[in-house]
Amino acid sequence: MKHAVVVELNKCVGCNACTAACKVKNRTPKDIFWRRIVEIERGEFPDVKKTYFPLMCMHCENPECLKVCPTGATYKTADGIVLIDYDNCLGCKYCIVACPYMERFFNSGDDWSDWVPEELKQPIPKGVVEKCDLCYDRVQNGENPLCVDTCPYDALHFGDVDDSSIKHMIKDKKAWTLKEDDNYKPSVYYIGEIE
Amino acid sequence: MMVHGTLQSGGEGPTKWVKTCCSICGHNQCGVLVGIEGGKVTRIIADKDDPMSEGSICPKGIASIQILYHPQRIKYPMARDGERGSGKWRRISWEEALSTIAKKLNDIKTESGPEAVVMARGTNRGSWIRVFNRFANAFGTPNWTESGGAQCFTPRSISQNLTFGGIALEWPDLSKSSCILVWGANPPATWALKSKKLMSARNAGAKLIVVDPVQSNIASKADIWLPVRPGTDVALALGMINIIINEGLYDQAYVNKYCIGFDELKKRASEYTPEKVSEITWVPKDKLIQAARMYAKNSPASITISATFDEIVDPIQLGRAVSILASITGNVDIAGGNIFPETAGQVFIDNNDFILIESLPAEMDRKRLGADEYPILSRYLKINFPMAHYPTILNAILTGKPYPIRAMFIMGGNPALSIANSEMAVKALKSVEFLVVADLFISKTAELADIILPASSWLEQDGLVDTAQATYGHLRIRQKVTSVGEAHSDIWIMIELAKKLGLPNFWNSEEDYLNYILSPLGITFEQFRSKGGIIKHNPDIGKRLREGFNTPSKKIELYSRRLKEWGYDPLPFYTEPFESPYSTPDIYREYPLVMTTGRRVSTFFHTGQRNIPALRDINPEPLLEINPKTASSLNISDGEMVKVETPRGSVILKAKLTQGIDPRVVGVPHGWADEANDNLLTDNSKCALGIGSTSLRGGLCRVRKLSN
Repeated sequence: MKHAVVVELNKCVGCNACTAACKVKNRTPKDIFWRRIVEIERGEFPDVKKTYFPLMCMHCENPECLKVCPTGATYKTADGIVLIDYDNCLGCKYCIVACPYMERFFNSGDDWSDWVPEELKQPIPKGVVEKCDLCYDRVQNGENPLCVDTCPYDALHFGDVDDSSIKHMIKDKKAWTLKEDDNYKPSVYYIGEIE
Repeated sequence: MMVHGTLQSGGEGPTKWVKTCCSICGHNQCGVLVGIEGGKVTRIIADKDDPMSEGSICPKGIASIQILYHPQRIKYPMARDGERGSGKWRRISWEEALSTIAKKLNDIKTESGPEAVVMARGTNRGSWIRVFNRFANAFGTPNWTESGGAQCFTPRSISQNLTFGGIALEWPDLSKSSCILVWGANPPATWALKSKKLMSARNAGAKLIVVDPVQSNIASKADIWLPVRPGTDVALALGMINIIINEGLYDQAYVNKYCIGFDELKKRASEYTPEKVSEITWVPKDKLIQAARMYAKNSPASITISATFDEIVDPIQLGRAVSILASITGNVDIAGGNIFPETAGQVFIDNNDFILIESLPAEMDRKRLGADEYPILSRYLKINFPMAHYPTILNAILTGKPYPIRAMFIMGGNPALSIANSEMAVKALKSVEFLVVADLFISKTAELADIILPASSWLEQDGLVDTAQATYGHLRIRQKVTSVGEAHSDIWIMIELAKKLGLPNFWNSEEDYLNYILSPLGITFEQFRSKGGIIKHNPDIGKRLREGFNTPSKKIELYSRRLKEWGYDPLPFYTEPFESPYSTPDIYREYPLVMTTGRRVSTFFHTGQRNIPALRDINPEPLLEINPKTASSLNISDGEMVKVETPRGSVILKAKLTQGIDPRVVGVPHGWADEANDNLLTDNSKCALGIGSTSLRGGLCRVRKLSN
């Protein structure tokens, strides 16, 4: 059992509904994004093609972040999700440096202080490193991560890489991963070219 | 051990889900499920079973939780307690607020006539457009207007009505289209509901053509992107029509049977050769020809448009030209083409009956500000609510001519930022004797008010979703989920104020109003709620082909006799923007870039939501879209702050370098406040012929690095 997210690049229009859903659910502070969409442009006007490229924690099979964590705060669940035990995180940021995908963020406690009521402020203590937990609460309940369920364009898919439609999708549509030549083995797959 | 996600929702996740319709962007109204946990809203998700939206949602709808519980929400009525704009407020009761407003408005009515009171609305925060107009008519003032008004929907509605007697470019039958032409619109950012259907069709193989000066979200998915010079769209449309006629790609049988004026059109279009059109529009000739062929050869094809059609130098001609493009290719009122969505609520009760149009005395109708100069906006076709012209109102406030305006009642709008020439708008708002604003937050407009009324968000309202742009004929429910402070819906505010004013023909309560809407169906709102709150509808495609179009000739009028009778050109023609490299070469020498204002992102609706954390985080700054070549020549790097200047004013923005824009053009975002307010750049001194729209596409500007 290994969970995976599959992104169909040709379906993503960069609307950021996923980003907003993530930020609202996880109450991430200012400038911290557990997922985001970057724009990649190729070519020159007028023959330019733009690709919207969603990024998040890759939940690697061989996570570099886990290797460098001095306290064991970063750990991996049996079903392949990389999590952080915030009580044990020292905020040393080794993992931020180690993450090949730059998907870990230090919570310095900055927030939109006048704009967020107390009860909607993030409960994660400041001074720790945080990142996408693949909505572990939802996954444990048999649901998809919220970004996947939110995408209005069905660009995101979630499932067991060994045993589900995801498996066929990865194979049939020639899915690829970022930094494939390294041995991190990310759980986030992309379908389609960066045009 | 703290496992993050579980902690976030504070427990097991929502325990109760309420089906309702989001209204954060006014018109679209995606069906959503609102999750409640411990009495609090903790989740908003798309309702995948909604017959209209089928799972569409946008960042603004999702983040409405942060609007609902925002610490800066206006929670009770407030009266000014210091100088105008001093930011000093005193809490008052609803009774005091409504009595004070009613007394003042009735005094003004007695002393200066009802026309001295302007009713100005902005967005449709709930479905209350018609209630607002009924209120104005019942009060007796002809001077109701809206920030959109001549800038949104009215021009494109009138031009389509003139051509084929209804609105067909708004809601095409996208799912069956073989080719979709998106013109001056970016649905992924602004119209989630349409965007989802559009992308589904595209993913199923439909061809996609996008006309936009900037490579927008939707343009990035296009087979052909036509980067038109801002404001020159009419020439592009006439160029496509010409190619299609010349190459025999039009639907001759359809034209013969359903259209009039083809020969005249053919003659007019022949003036717009590909070479000439390419020169005007800056669209490469080969792309223009490819696009015309792709659209004409892939049948059924549909066109979908938006506010660009209301914000250029001659909106009526653009709406007409593109309506004609759809018509001569036989794509109107057919499956997979441009069809006429029927509107549930508005089908039930005639608009003009609803707004009590007859109750406004003829002498008041004649006094409507701007109606003499812009009769297409205010007088001729009574299909759109005849409205006063905003720039003319501002002028009347500042000059007292043709008669004084003493009070403004603003609901759902923020004209201090949202209409052209902010400097003039703010001056007028500051100088009007009595200003009342209903809003959720203290906007730049509310700052200047005498009385602020706390309006509610869509999560705090019962309602019926019955506007043309949201329904496709389906009737759906909005359900109140919770309440905030003493905030009330705009409809409640109008009903209670009408009581205090002693206005005839209003309702006793919101429930009365909702029951009135449903009365033709013989059910009450509570019965509608208990039956699930949805009445589905299938549009009758082909009805006009069978029974005739709703025009004087019963045909599609390529040549418009009505326009001719009114003194306008009966055939579309191109007009160069008021300010452009060609129309004002002297200004062009000083201001060498063409500008399009009004660029939108998915996180903000007009001037709103800059204070919503999740949304502001995604788009923290106002960005100027500029080509790297141009930026380089100005020594500007990506992310640097720049000053954009026009002959009218300047703004400060952050440069976003992109190849997705012509080096001769820059894209200015809309809706930001203070020094990033795009309407410091825009002009309202010259307005479109007959319809009065200000030009927001295609002015001139110059850009420089801020530090220099």
